Amino acid sequence: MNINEKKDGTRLIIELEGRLDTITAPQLEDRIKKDIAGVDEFVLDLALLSYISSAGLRVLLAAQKIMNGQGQMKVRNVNDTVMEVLEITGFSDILTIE
Amino acid sequence: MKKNLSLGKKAVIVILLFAFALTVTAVMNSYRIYAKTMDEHYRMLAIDVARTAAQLSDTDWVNSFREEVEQIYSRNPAPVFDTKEELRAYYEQYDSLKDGEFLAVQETLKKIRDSNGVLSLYIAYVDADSKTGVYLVDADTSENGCQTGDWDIIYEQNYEVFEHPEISFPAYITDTQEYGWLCSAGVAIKDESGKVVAHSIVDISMEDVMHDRQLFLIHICLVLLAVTTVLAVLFIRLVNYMVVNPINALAEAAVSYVEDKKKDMGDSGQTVLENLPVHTKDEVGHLYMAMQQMAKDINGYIESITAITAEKERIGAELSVATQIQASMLPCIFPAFPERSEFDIYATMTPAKEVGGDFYDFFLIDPDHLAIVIADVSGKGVPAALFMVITKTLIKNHVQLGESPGEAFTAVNKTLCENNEAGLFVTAWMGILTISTGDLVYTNAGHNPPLLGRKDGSFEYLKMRSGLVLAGMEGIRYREAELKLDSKDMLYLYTDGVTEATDTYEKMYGEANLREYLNSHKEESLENILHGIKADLDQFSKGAPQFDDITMLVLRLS
Repeated sequence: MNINEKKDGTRLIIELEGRLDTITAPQLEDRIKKDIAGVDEFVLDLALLSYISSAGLRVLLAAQKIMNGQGQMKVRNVNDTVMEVLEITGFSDILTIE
Repeated sequence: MKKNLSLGKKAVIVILLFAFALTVTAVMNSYRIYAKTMDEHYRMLAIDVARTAAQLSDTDWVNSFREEVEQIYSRNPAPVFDTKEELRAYYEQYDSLKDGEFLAVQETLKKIRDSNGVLSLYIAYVDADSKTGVYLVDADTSENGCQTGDWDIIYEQNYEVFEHPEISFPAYITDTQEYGWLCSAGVAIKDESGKVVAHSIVDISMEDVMHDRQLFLIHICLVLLAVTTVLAVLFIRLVNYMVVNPINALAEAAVSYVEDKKKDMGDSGQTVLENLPVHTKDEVGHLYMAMQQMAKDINGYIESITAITAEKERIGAELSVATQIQASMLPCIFPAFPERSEFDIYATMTPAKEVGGDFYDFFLIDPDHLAIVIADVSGKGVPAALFMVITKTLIKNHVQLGESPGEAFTAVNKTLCENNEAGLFVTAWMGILTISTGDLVYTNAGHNPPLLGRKDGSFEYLKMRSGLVLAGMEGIRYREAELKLDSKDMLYLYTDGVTEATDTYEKMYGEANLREYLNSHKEESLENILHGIKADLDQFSKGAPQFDDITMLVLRLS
């Protein structure tokens, strides 16, 4: 999985490419933990994400919880495959999906 | 490893080659010098003996005797005779000249010859006209000796003696059939006025000289052979002692290190690398010390590995106990309700690791209400298993208090969220069936929906708007949905370990395959259906490792 990160002041944009599963989720978790301090707008671009597992969902949930306390989090460009997972798991209710 | 040529053998070969080369060089040089010296010695000896003979000779007598012989000889110089009689007649001419003085001179020559160990000694004069030397007196009185009047050709190399008789015959070597291999030298015998009257001539046998040389050669060869043998043996022993034996011992110790280590397990860390026959502080000693250090390091490493392995085994044992406990928490005795003929239920769980995060559950709340649950905790291993235990217990507790599925999930979610530092969550689906009516009330916390198989139709997903996963976020209210199950209707619950089982090309099994399998096997027993799906998954993944727990539950009304 590739993680492309852009930080613009207090705005953090992360683009994910590939599979977000048990193996790759810890990488994303570390990146978010490292860079999320002081961010008031966190944008997660999932256009190139082909698969998300429960481990990946956990990272999204953790990020959402952090952002609930310091600003807002947006998930954008969600493709059908990932959207299905988000809907089944009820994540579509708590995430701001654009 | 096969040794082509041991260090010891190489050392021996090299040493022997060196010894051979040295011996050959030494022998050749000594022989050359010896031969030169001895040649010189024999030439000097020849001249010395000749000079002694010349000095001891009575010049006057020699002069008069020569004149008398010359008188007879000059009548017929260099005569050659066909018969013995003629020869005897020729010799008899001189017999009258041989007086007492002659015999005395001959005796003196004989003494000189014998005391100096030369082959022959005689007095002769040279006849310039016939280019011959004529014998006067020979020390040899035997038949081999030369009679007075015998003559020999003077070799061209000595012709100068005719012009300058005082030069006489410097030492020269000849090899003739008649006299053999000789070194000859002559000294002039002079009278008071310095006139040369004759020559005293010495022959030394070169055969003797060569015999001397051979003796010397054999002698020096034997001495050198003995010395080099002793030195070579010493050196080989030294090499063996200092290099070969220590290295062999080190190699053996290294080869048998693990074996001996096993035997010495009880001992106080003594290793085979101690007390080896290494006595030097050079490179070999250094190698020995380095190997000892390595052995110590390995011992330490083995100890820590042993400790780690023991710890791992302990954890492994505990994990297997945990697996058993977890397995025993899931209802696993089938038929589960042998006294209930209204429905049939079957479930399986195959964990990916020792303890899994998946679980299923079913139980009778009261004689008319059956609860069925399937859930998947995010993550794997022990943390997921612990979370699973908590979740399962909470759900059962709340349902047994009489709460509906939605109420129970809402309450469980609240409790789980209170203490969830690890950020785990659970996807779960639960339904409560009223057995007498077939009414099913169900709720979903982010779990993949079950498949509903109507008696006369194919399996379809039981779609409903799902709530968020359990333990995801506080304050979630879980909605409920209802449906009515009729006779022979089936409900198939599963976790994503089924549809997301992958083959070696990372292709997923998928929902289509699952539905197809269920549709074509819906008439079979529940046990056969679940085992059949598992077998189909195994066939699909073709040995690719199982990444996720595989959990299935199936219910069929009678």
